[in-house]
Amino acid sequence: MVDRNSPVTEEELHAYVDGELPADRLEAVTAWLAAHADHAALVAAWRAQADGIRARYGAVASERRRT
Amino acid sequence: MFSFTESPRLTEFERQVLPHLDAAYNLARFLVRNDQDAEDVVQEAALRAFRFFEGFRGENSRAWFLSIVRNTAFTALKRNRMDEETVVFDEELHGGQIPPLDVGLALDRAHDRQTVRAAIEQLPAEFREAITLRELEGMSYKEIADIAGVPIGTIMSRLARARVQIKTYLDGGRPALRRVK
Repeated sequence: MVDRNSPVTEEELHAYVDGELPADRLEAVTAWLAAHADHAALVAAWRAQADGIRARYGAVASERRRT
Repeated sequence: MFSFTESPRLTEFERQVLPHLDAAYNLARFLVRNDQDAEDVVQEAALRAFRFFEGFRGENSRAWFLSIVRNTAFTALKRNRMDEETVVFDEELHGGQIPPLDVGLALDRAHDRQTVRAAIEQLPAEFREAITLRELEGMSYKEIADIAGVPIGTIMSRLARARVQIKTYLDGGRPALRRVK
């Protein structure tokens, strides 16, 4: 398990985008992103990319996402 | 009115599996990368699913059927050598530091469907699988891990690396040589 004070990993940023971050890491990652604008922009880019792919090819684009 | 051709098993199969044919075709199409092979994969997978339907316990018919589709597709890839590259999972990358990366352009309206398809198709098969199940089907990490038969951490790593590679491609870093179909 990742230490609470450890730097955020790349996988965690994607888990954040996907709403898959464990509750015990959400607060830490959110705080870290608030202090790192470059990576916050990167997260926005991942989200835009995922949305763009989904908009073009998603068979269930309008379905409610499983959480 | 066609009740004479029906059986309870067939009816239940149609109810549980047929709604997922589009998702099955989407997955197969991105895995084998051409229409005809994708149709063959889905047909074979549907036959297998029907044969083994009694073993299905009714929890998540989409994940169950897509796992059959994915296994059928990977078997076809091996048989036809349609996919020469294999992924060697780099454990060191999992849980690693975030590499410096130019934010660059987000995927936008300038990227048409074919370009986006090409960006996904240039990925290794295991990455195509993760991206298709996540971005197109909206599946959870757990569902994707179960379908692919690997730990969730492996799916997280594949997704992260796949997205970087897609982004690099869309930002203009695509390989100089185009694949010949």
